[in-house]
Amino acid sequence: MAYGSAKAFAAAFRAVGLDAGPTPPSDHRTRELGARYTSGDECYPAKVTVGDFMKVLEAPGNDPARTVFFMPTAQGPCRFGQYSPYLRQVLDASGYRETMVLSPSSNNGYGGLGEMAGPFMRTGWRALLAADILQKLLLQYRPHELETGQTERVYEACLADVCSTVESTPVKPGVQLAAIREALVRARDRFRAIPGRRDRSTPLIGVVGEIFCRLNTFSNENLVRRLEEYRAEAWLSDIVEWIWYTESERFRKLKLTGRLWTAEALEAWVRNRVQKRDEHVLLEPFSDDFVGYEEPDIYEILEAARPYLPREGAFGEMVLNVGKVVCLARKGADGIIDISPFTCMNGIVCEAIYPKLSRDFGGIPIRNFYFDGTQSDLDRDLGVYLELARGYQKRKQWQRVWPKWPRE
Amino acid sequence: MGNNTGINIGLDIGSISLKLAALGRPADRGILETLCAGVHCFRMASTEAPLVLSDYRRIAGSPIQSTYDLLQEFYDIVPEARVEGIRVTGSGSRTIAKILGLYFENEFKAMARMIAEFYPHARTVFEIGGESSKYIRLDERTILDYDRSGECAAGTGSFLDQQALRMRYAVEDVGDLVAHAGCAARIAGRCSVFAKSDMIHAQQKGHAPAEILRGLCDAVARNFKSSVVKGRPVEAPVALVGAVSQNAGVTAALREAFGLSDSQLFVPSHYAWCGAIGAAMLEAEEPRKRSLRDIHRLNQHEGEERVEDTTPLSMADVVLLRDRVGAYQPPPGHPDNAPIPAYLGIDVGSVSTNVVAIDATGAVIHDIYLRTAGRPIEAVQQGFTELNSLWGKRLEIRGVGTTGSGRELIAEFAGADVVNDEITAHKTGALHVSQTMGGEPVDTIFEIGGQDSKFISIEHGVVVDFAMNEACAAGTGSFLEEQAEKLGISIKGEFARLALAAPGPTRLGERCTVFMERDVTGWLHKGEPVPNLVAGLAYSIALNYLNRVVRGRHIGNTIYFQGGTAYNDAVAAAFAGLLGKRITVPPYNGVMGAIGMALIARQWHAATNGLTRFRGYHLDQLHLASRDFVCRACSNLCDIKEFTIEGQKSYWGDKCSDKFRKPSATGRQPVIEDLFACREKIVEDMAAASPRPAADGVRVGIPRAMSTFDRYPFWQRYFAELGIETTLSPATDPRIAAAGVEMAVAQPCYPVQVAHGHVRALAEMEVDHILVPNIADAEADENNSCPAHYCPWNQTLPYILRVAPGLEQFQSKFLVPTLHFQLGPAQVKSALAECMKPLGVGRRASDRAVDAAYATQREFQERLLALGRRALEVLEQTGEPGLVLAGRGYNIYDRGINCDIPRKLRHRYGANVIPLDFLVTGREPMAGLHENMYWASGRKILEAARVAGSRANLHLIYLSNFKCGPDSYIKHFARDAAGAPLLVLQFDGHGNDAGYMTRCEAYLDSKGILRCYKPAPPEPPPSQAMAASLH
Repeated sequence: MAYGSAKAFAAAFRAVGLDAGPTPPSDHRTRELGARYTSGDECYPAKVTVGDFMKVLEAPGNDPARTVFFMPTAQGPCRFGQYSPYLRQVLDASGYRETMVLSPSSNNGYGGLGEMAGPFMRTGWRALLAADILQKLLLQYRPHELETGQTERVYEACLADVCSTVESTPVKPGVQLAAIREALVRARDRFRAIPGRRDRSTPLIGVVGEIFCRLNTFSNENLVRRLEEYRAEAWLSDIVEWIWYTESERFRKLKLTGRLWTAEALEAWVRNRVQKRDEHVLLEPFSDDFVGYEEPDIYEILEAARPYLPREGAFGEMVLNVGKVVCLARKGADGIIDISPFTCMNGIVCEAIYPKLSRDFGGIPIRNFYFDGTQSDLDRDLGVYLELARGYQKRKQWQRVWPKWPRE
Repeated sequence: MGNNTGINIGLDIGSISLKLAALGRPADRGILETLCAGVHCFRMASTEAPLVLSDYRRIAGSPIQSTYDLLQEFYDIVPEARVEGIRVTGSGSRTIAKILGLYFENEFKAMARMIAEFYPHARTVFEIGGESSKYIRLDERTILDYDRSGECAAGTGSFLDQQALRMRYAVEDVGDLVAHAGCAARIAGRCSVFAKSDMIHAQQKGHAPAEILRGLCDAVARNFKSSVVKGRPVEAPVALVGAVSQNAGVTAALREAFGLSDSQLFVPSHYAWCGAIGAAMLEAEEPRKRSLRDIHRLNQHEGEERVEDTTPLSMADVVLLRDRVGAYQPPPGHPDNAPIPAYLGIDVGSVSTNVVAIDATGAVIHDIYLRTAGRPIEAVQQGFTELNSLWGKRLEIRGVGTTGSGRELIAEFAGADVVNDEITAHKTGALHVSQTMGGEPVDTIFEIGGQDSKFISIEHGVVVDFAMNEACAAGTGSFLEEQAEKLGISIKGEFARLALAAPGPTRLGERCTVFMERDVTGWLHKGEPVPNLVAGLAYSIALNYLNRVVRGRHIGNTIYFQGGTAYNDAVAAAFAGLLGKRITVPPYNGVMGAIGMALIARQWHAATNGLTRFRGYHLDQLHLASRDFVCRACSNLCDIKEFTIEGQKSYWGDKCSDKFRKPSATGRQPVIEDLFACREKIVEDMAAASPRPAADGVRVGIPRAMSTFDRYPFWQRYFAELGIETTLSPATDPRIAAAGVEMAVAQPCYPVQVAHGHVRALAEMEVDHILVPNIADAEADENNSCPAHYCPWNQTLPYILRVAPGLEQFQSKFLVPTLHFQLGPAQVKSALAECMKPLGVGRRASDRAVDAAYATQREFQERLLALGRRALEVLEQTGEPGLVLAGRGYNIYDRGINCDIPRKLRHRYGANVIPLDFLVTGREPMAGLHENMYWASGRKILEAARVAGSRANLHLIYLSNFKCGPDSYIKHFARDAAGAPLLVLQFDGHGNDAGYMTRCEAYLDSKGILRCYKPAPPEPPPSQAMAASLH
């Protein structure tokens, strides 16, 4: 999960009375432990996740019997859904039988958390929405700041504000929503106050890819930050997009199996409406700020992917990535970077589709960057990549729409 | 400074070499001419706008020092004031840019700038350099597109260098040599590690070095095309630059691979200086110069502060038994002149060849450790000559055993009595040493050889678990050697001395050999001290080994570390440090396999009292002839080498060797039917029983790839019912496979790449339609809500194929129904009806055909299951062991993918082989096995593993392939389901089967299936001779 999302999500756990925290920052020990407990053929995110968890267990004073790991799961077709059973196997084999793994699944829209499910799911959802919004602000403001580091400081302060709001507000839906919205309004105003110099020639790079790797700065060697050092701006696909996708998949499956007119479908529909409303309420204060930065609706993404990967026959992130690339190209992005773990099946399918997609959009430069924790000359690659993006920027057909900057 | 003077310097600091370009203005000509006249390493490349280039200079591990030296030589003649600016580029330039406060230029931009100036007509640049390769598409000064070698770097300059050196050729000679090669050995192109093993196996199969080098050049070109250019447009003229451009072999191979003429692909005269010249030009064009500081800063530089250190290496927990062995003495009481009965063991490995003679008590008479150097026969001959000159007359050879990857070739030459895999050989040797040297019996063996690493776990003298490196050479001896060579230190002695004295070993982590090489280069560029790096490498090897080979298997308390790498004390110390356990390096650690084989030869002699086939020491006096030909028994067209030794013919070749199959290596005969043949027959029979299609109707092509191996009866029947003729693409052959690898855009697994080739083959056969179904999932048990997905690559295959270059133009022929077999016939009917509507097929006709197809598929499955049940009964009755093959249909049944291993298991070892679809359907409930196995393949594999685990006489072999996503997880669960260690074979377009066969043999041996003679006689009492020879 992204740094901010993990923090906000942990706050959501604490809001319902569970002591939770994100795993400590990944480091070389993460890689060492990850390598010890995997064979090397698994996905890199699994290696990092297993490494981070084992690091928690080996920390002095940790009680394995009182440790629960939160590891969402899915029902394929990509490997992600195997992380949780694999983690279970590793824990059992290493003598941590009593350590629990909590795994809500994308199959039921990440429900199944027991009786605290209701309030937690809603709180968690709002926490993730808020974290995504903060991240969007961070990426929007940081490339243009006059004083290096200021945006990040603002972001940290706002994140802390949101987390403590989530944690300390009663879980009563109406009260909670209003409180989080207020925290976000405070955040908005703080970001707006950051002195910056806007330059409309700054290339906009859409960043898609495997969800863990693209959001985890340790795994992707902070690619977004480096892009910014080359004076580019990144538009990073967020977490909420994946959740909307799993929701929409649920409806597709209900329809496919002829269960569209059942109580199950009705319940899913109601939840969908509620979540949609939450999103609307939290985004509403940003209507001026996000002009030209509107996240496309999930159905827009899926339709955009259709000529390449129809959602009925291709599943998971690959459809989202391909669809999002189309949406971003139409919004005037100057280039696309796909961040995936080395050997990622999704990433490799996308990589095979991108050349065609690029041709269809006037040669928009699309690149796959694969990560597996080995050293690579990322700077060199980004340097030449941005040459292509700047070249495309001059000839592209789709122009950007700009918000009115507070201090342009 | 006026416009008339002002020199701009471009420095290209790569991973291996350093290049300087100095671009002056007209008035600088004089001083630059003085420079060239005074310092021999500079030469004037152009006088008009004076351009001086330095020699191609290797940086030999110290980029900062080398840069300093070069600039010093420059400034000795040219006053600093004459230099306007310096700009650096290249992978190693960043640190130097930082120290000197210089501008660091992107390599692509520098190169593009130079090419645009000097060769404005060039539209494409290929660069193949030391550690990376690049592709740039240009339109004058604009970069239109670019790419570079990926994370899985292969076919680079340093790799070519190493391989040429390994074969004792200078890389400059490779071009000439290759021009005279009759044929090219087939070398896998994807990963240099695999390519390396392919080369070694080709060497051992007797290919001439020139043929191997040519195969290597082809592989480099093929790899460049598939993993760097990746189907992007290659517009001529193409400028080929980088050090490798000087290799005529690669140049020719590239021209062939891209269909370019001599003039369309040219090598610029400044092939290695493009980056340096471009950087100098860009600096000259830059109005804002960075202020130049003294180059002395380079000299004062003391390396950046380092992030993490590891503990210094220590020998405190390492026991070196080799110090305790003296010269051989015949057993006490042996008459002086009487011949000593002796047994020979020969281990022909990739890097070393070992010859050992032991006496009847098992004491080592003489041991010889030699370099194989690509010439196994010569190496053995050299060993024999040495043995003969020292002991020849005194020894009476009673038995000979061979092991190692060249074991079969040498067995024929030397006249061996027993041939065994390395694992068995090493275990036998180590056990003997531990028994005779009086310590605790060994229970764990770490064996690190040149290309192979092994882990052996022993209980009561029996191998209970073992592992070998899976298609990955991370942490092997040759890696250490190559790195040592690169760092300019000797692997013998110096390496360990430096490493053990290093105050803070560099944390290099564990990873692929190729990546590690890059890491080391990176650290060097950052100024890391060499001793720390060397110590870090020792840790890396040990970590790689523990994480990739041992992988959580049980490590005992008496650990023997052997193999050639065990000569390196630093690695032993690294193991001891990482494990916190005592590590014992046995005597003869480098020749333990040969000792084991000599002991097995002794067992053989004791058990059979047979007469040895040993041909004597003089192999060179044998009447020997060889010829090459291509086996045309099937479309694989394998290269075969025929050796005639003393009138006796023996054959060595790739792949199936169907026609020239080696005689069974065991006395065992299979007791069950040949299920592969049965399956083919059933498919044929069922096709013959289908309705005849219309003679002149449309033809639908079905690629013999991916899901077709499981669902062919379904499709054949479906179309036959509709009166449509179907055409299967031919069996995978090298042409189809190569075409597929070339067309596949990203780098999916090998079977997906091969599928591209099959679709292309069908398009060339001019079928009217090509069936490439979008199959989402497979049938599963009805009560399970868990999906039974196909893997994402299977699912999206049609979408990938239709955008692949070379296939895109045929996409209108594709039939792409989206099928959910898990939802049952209703969905399949509606999807197929919709798909077939444009062909004029009505809904009712299609539905009827679907019903018939389902019935056919069911019948097919039931017939397989019936055969499987019968096979299990036969095994039950006879008590014979059986091998269950788990894996996907294409891995089990496509001989072009699996080197025909399944059938070799039957024909060579007499194994009773049962593929999983004779036992399970994937529709069995998964209860208790895995709660969330959402892949259809995984369900079948785990179920088959459970069947194998349910009977004591069944053993499991899991056929997988490199990059298979699902298998990377399923294999962990399969072990649990089988309740016992299983053998995993990972295929990756490897043409040579030797490595796979070794694993199979060791596995069979550990299961007691292999050896035809009675189990080993009890060990004689500890050898007094050896005990006596202890200090």
